Amino acid sequence: MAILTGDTVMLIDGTANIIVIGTKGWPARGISEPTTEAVIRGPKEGFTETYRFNSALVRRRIRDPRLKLKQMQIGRRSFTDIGIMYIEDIAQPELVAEVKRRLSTIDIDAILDSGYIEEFIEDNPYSLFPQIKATERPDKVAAALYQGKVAILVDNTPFGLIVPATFNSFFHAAEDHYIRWIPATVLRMMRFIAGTLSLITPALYIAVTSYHPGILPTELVLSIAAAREGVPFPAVIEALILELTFELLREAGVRLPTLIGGVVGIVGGLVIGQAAVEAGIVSPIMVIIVAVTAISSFSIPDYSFSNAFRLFRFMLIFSAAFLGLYGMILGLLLMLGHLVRLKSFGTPYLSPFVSFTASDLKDTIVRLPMFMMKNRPLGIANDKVRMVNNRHEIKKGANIKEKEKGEDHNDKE
Amino acid sequence: MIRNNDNISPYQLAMLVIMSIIGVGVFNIVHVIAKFGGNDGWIIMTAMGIVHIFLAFLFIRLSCRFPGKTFPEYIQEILGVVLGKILVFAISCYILLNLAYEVREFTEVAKMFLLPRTPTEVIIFALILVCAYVVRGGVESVARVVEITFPILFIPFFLVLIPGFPNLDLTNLLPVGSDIGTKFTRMIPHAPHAFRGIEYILFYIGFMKRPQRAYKPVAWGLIFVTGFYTLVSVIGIGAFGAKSATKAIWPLLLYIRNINIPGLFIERLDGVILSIWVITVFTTIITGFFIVTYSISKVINSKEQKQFALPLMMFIYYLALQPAGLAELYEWGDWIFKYVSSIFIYVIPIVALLIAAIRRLGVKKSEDF
Amino acid sequence: MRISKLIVILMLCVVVLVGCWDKVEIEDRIFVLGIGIDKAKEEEKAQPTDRYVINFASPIVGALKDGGGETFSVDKTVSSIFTFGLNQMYERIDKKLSFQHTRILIFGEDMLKDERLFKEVLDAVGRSHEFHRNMYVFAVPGRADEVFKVKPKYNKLLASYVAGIAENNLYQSSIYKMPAYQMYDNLINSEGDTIIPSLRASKEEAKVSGLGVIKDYKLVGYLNDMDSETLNWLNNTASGGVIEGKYNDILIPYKYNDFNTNMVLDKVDGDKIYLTYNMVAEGSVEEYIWGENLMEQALLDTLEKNIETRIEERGKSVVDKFQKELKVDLVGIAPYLRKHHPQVYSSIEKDYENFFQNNMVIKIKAEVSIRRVGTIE
Repeated sequence: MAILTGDTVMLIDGTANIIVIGTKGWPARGISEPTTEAVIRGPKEGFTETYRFNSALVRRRIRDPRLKLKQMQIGRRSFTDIGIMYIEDIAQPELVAEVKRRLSTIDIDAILDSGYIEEFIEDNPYSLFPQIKATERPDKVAAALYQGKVAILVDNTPFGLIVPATFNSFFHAAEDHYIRWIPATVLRMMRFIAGTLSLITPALYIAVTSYHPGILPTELVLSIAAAREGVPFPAVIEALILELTFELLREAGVRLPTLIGGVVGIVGGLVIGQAAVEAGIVSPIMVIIVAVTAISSFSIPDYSFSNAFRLFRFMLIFSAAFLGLYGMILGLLLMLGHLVRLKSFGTPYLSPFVSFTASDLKDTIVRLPMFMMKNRPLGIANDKVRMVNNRHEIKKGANIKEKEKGEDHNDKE
Repeated sequence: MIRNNDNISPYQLAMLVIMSIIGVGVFNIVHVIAKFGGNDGWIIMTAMGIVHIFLAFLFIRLSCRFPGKTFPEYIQEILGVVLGKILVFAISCYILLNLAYEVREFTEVAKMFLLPRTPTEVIIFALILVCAYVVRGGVESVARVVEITFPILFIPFFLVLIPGFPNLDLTNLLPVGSDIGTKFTRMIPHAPHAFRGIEYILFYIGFMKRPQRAYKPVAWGLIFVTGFYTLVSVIGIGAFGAKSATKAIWPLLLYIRNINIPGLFIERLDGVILSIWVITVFTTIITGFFIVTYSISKVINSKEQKQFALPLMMFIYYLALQPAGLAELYEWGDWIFKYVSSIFIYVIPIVALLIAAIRRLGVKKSEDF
Repeated sequence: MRISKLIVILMLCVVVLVGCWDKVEIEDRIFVLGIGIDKAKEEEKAQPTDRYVINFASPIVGALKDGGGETFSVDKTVSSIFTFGLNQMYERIDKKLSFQHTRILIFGEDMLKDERLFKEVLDAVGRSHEFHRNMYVFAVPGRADEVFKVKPKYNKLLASYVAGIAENNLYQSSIYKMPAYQMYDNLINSEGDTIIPSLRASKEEAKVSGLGVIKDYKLVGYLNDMDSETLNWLNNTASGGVIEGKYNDILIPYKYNDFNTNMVLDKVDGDKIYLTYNMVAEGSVEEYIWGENLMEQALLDTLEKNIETRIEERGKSVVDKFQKELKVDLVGIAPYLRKHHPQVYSSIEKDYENFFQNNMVIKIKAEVSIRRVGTIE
């Protein structure tokens, strides 16, 4: 029986016992580039479905004996391997205990993906915003562990979980720390702007055109009015038609094989871009608005986070259609009120923007150079100091000096 | 389970101070200053701001005697349970009235500029519903909202003021300091109009771990408020002259409406500024509203303040709908701020401090300044 | 608790579905860009109570896009009260009027001569939340509706054409720019005195020429183009223009691009007040006569002197006009005294008008510098 399942049996002459050696091998997907979080600069390894590979990938990045991997099995029938990873003296013991406690309360027959776990241990499962970060990248997990966070690896899925996750961290891409800090900062700012745009653009358009045309320049107002002439629907309906079409296209494109996916794009582009405008169902300006929204929403790095933005966008569209600019602001304030109440494993979701210390703001909307970020983020990490090294020492110790002009002269003489 | 800590940091306290004082009156304050202080209004404003900083220090002195306790808790020690509860209840009623005033004033403006045909009820209801949602989150939630809205509010606000600078004529502020004595005496009864909301400090200090550390943030908060009011009155009076600024009900709004930025996506800024106004009103209401729910929960000896948010919201709603129009509202406001506010802002805290000192209650001396 | 939450959500849904009270789609609005107000003549009155004739200029959106036909339309309405006139339009159009983009406000001469009507309109426009006060105000010698018959050549819209002319005062100071907020400030601070640039209309163009002087909410007279420029100098609002100078009987245009004026109180002597306007102009000469050399300091010095005396003469004549003819202080003396010499001002405040006419001795001192002479010597 053991041989049939792939184990090796060792029979030793003279002994009554047989040694069964676990040499099961099974077809596993090799380590390949992560599909959802691609980078240009940086490691191209991604997690696979095999739990052991994944823990090894993280371990390779943290050769610290204090890196702990606590293993447990969840699922009454599936007995899925779950690993809790943290660095002992950086992660707060309360956080680790809390993660363990929450995991141990899960009682289900099978765990098929880390998504199952996520739903069980989230602080507020009714919220639109994900409070746990799922990632395919071992370097991201390692970076999070170094910050004092806790990672949860689940067998049979390439997505590991990182807790606590904050609003801020969902705007960060792995690459931000690998490219030079100035472009990284600019890119991050762009991402935040894109996030805002994807949230408010359609709502703002509706509020302005159907409630307060007074705030736009006269020429723009006239050209919008001219473009909308003959469109049978109010701006809200127009926006909803186009947004829905776009969301459908997006959904269709994700599910279809890549070869057909391209065709969907062409059909969608033609339908939205040309035919609908020419048929007079929507105005060309609305197409621009929806296109801007779509492009902006793609630049949010995290998929489940951008889903939250998608849904809030629709909420804002309704509130703007109902009360104009006032409704839109109230909608945003409601969202803010929700966000401040949200917590991820005891960490305020909006930190470090709330209850902040100045040093934590170095890695938020901006990404300051490495040598300036000497401390780990407060509140999460126990052992604060990340490095003692500073820029001056690097400069001081430099052996290769530029040739000075004075020396040149000396040579000639 | 990791619990809420229900504490506020010094930084959050400063933000609370700023946001609870700067409210719906931002646009109207220049009118008041110009009316009573003339072209020297800004000097009087600065002076009054400094006085109020010292007043706030008295609040802190009082709170320092009872570390770890909030005002509704220790006032029951100072005055006795029954009297203390009555006082706390009275303050809650006064703050409710204050909030209703804010809501109504804002609604009238919103109705005029943004939504002329939307029923007043809907405008009010939508606003206070959102406020109640935030207040249900407790002091942490309020403090965080305030903390985040601070940059969202003031950065655009200052940016919006800049393009109007070419319209400024600072010679309108001249002559400086003529007849300043009478202007001062005319202005002083209206001080609570500008600085109402300062009494909220008394409540919020109690949520700090160490109230002794409140001096700095409170001072900074009030310096910011004073600076802001001074700037706004310099701009308002500088742009129009005291006479014109008195004529307009919301001079600052007028100032912004006169700006025309050609070639930008937004040509006129009044939409922006009214949106900003929604946020100021929102923050003022949540800071006050939380105090009311909290105080009521202390009066009834209930542990949670959450459940009071929705019922009390109805009171605000009802009170806000009482005045017939803007004229009546402002008359009410004048009366409330001149007499009632003065009692709650100046008289009660000082009397409480005196009684506490005479009865030698609480910790006598705060060790560090 | 859960049920109450559900009720709240249901109520919200209902309200949202019923709501949208203020929604007016952008294509259902008519953006009135220009308003002209006249006093109604007897033959124009539909009812005996009618007092105003109001003209609206608003763009025809469809024509703007396609480029054919009339690009703006002018509607005329007669009414007894200004706001009635605005609302009466709804009986004739299927859209909603919007005044948020109004750029020009034009008064006919009759309006400005009738204090009551002028004050009524001032109040209506000042009180309205829709009108933006950065629109430009003009007075028309004659009737305002003449302007609305103009079909501008270079602009599709009448209002932006006229507003564009007002903004040209950056290059030509004879155009006096008067945004509504400034007019209101003047009227409030001086209790009824202001100037309003005047607009003359012909078939294809409108022309800003000179300005009307309002005293105690009544039109008392006009100034011509040149005086209008001079007034810009006196009030320190000039920013560019050309002055003619003379050298050896050759007329030379002096182009200034910076003109600063400040006022100084020289002395108070008994009941006389001595004031000086110091004017400093900076600019270039870019026309002389072919074949002659302009790059000579001596020549330029003489020329500067010549221009200076010209400025002084013109300034003096305008100040005299205000003192003797129009009898109203719109040359900025009262605000100057109030701000910088409050004691002096308070002593003469009561009888200021009389004092201004008789007891003020005003001197003008100009300092002109020619910085450049163009690209040839």
